[in-house]
Amino acid sequence: MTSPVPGALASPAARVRGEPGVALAALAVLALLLTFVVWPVVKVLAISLQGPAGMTLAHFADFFGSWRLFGILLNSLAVSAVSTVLTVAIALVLAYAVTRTDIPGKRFVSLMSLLPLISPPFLVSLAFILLFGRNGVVTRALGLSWSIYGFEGIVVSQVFTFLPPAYILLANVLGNIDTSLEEAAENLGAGALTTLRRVTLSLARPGLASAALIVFILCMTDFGNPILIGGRYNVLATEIYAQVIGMSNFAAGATMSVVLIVPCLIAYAINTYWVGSKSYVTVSAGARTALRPTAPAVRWPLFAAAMGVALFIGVIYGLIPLGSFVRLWGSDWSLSLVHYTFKSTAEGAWPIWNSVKLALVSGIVGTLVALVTAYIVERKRPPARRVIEGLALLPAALPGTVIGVGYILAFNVPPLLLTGTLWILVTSVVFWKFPVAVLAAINTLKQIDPAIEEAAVSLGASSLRTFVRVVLPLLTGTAFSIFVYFFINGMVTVSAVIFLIYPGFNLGSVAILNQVENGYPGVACALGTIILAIVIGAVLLLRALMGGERVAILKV
Amino acid sequence: MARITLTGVTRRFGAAVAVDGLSLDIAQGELVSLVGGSGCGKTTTLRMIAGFERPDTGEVAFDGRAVNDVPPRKRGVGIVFQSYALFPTMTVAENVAFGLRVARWPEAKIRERVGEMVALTNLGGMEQRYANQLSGGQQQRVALARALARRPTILLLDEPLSALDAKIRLRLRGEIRKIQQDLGITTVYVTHDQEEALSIADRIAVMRDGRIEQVGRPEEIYAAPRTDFVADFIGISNLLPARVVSAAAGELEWEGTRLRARLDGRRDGEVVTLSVRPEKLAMVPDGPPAAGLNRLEGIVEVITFLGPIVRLEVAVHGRPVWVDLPHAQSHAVARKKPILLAFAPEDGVVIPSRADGPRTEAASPSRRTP
Repeated sequence: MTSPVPGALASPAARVRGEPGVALAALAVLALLLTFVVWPVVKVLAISLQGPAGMTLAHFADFFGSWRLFGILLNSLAVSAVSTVLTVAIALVLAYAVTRTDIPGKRFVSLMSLLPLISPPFLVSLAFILLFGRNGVVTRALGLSWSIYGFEGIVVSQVFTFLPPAYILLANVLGNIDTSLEEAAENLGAGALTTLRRVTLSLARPGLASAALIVFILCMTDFGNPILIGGRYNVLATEIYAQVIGMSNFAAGATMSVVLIVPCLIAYAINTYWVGSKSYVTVSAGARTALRPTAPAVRWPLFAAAMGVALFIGVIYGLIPLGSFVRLWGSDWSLSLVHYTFKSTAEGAWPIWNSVKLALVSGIVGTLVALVTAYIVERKRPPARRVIEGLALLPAALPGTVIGVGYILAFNVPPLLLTGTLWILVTSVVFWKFPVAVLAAINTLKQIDPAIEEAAVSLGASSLRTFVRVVLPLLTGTAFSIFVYFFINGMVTVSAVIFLIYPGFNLGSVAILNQVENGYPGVACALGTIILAIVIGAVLLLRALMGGERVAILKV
Repeated sequence: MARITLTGVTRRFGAAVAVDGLSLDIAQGELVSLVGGSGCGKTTTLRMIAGFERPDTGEVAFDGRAVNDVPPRKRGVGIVFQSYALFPTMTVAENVAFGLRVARWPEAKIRERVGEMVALTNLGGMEQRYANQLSGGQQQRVALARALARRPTILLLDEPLSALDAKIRLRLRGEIRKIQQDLGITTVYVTHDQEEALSIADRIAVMRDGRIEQVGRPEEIYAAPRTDFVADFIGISNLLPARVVSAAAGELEWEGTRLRARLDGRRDGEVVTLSVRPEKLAMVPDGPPAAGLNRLEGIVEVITFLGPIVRLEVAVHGRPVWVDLPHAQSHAVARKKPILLAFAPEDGVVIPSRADGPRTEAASPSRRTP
């Protein structure tokens, strides 16, 4: 984490004292993080501990005393554990095939793995319902009485939803292994399996642990897939929603939120503080990255597996537009645009435009706050730097449902009366999705030589002028990547905002859920198709304006 | 220890020919250095001996037995990689023992052998450390110990010292050579550093464009380069493009100056390159020329202090010529002052121009800086 520090001789406090503007900005960032990250969580914790007569553990006693409620926690853990193992296993095979062998079609596999990153997280569930639901193509064709709703549905949907982050992480780890290491093992007499086990996988172990912990958090906090395809199989994230929105039982919702946070925080802490210190840097001077031809007996099975998964993701995302053009999925296969008239809902297509508004505002606000935060943390190093950084990254461990509950509890009273306004939605998107954006900005700043800034300062420029005239132009590509990241999340996120939407301001992603629940999967597909088109269109447009690779898709 | 025979070995990567019909015989216990610039095919040649690359045509044989179809793990070859490729998940002892474990040696013998290798490579006390807790020089030794543990009959070293500081490089070079000679193991040593090759090898093979330009003992290569590339690549040389005036009389002309050299087998009027090492040029006093010596007049342009010697760049007919003088004579020269140089006819090496023309510009002197 350390890099050459500009003005390293001065103490952090002295450096900031010399520049009141920087100190003010640092304080402002700290205040924002305390308000929008810490305060909602504190409120959730407070409500969960609040009884009629002061502090109490009664709510927790209720939760762990009720077999039904405790069972929901076990459900969450069971589904997340199974999903995590399957996801990481498939991601490992894909990542190995793409980075350590010479199979054809690697670009296609990588491209397909990016698709779920830019789509509403539960479109996979919707596609599985179209295939295996009560009116699903496969269910109908085979005359099955079985349908996918429940445990199996959640698991398969989560596997394909969270495959990309696991795949990208493992591909990165495996792709950086010095080929000489495998050759050295071979030269010392090791066969292919010994080399794989003792060298390649042994090196990937921290990466595997990290991927598993990240996917576990994503599965635990996943809301969209369980609510769509979970059927009667309840998990914590959806039960919190049912308690808070369905029964207005905030105490129970807050208690379950705390129960949900704990395993997520543990996984997050293990990943950040333990696994993070274990990774092996194997690329050194003279390292080889060129691959030798893979044995056909290995290459073709791996090719089949990788292509199979990539094609299946393609099919999933092809089903959504297809479902939107078919008059009545499962019975009337004629093509029609009827779902695009949105007659099933009084809101019409408005939720989509609300989403665009939220996405644009979140994009602008989030990018600015993230850049300033990163600049202060990485370059100015104020006294509270560690605290600011820690708080900025903390939401990675917070479930969206907990953010949702916390924001309702924290911001429904003056002076911070935000409920019922666009700003509660904007702040929830910005601060829940803050970690990835801040890390991206910090990493870019680390690559900019501090001497460039020192040169500007030595020529008499102030901190603000240096940031605006020197640093900001170098950050343009990253800034647009961060904007795209917030924009995409504003368009597709559901778990936090579903608590925060207000009458007259529904969002596209939530409307998809409503339509599925009301029995209009075709309309849901139409909404999903429009959202996908807007997101892909926005990414392509920005790339065209900014020049190709400068606008990247940021990953979890 | 095995004899290595490469016969007409060719390896292509797509349209590029990395190794082009290369033949080389390496005797038992000999250390041969493959030396050349990047992309000359030296590493690919090494990898074909290790079995990581398969020749498209030609044959790799150990002790006369073709090994083209023998996979790397069955060749009995030890290799030290440029990046060392130490397994970062294992300690020094586990790294060294890896090949023995794979070969299912009994645990007691493994421990004994690891102890021997640790002693051989001066790694005592480091056994339980991980690679990232070692210095570059120590990592290099672990890589060597690991490669030698299985008692290979052939040792391959791919730029083993290129990642190290100059001082450590010198010391390890000596250690590697000593171990190699003690074990009497047939060794191929790839390097881009001609000085390293000269100092460590029994024989040197200078490579360019996938072919061997010249192979021979270091002294031969240095004293009698057969091509201008070798003269330019090995050591420092003044390469003077000259025309044969009279082969029978041993007379050449360079920039209007008559010079004498051994011209056996050359034709009158032929264009050749006359290679003269800087240390073969001497400063001579004004006056009547000593009998038989070639004389050059020039102006001193640059004086570089190199410890025991002083290297001058002298403009002769407007062309730079490098001269090494003993330090004691340095007081006698000054910048922009005229100087008189001389060299014996037998100290000029006459290199015929290639049929396809010289591939590097035979400028004088070579552009390499010391």
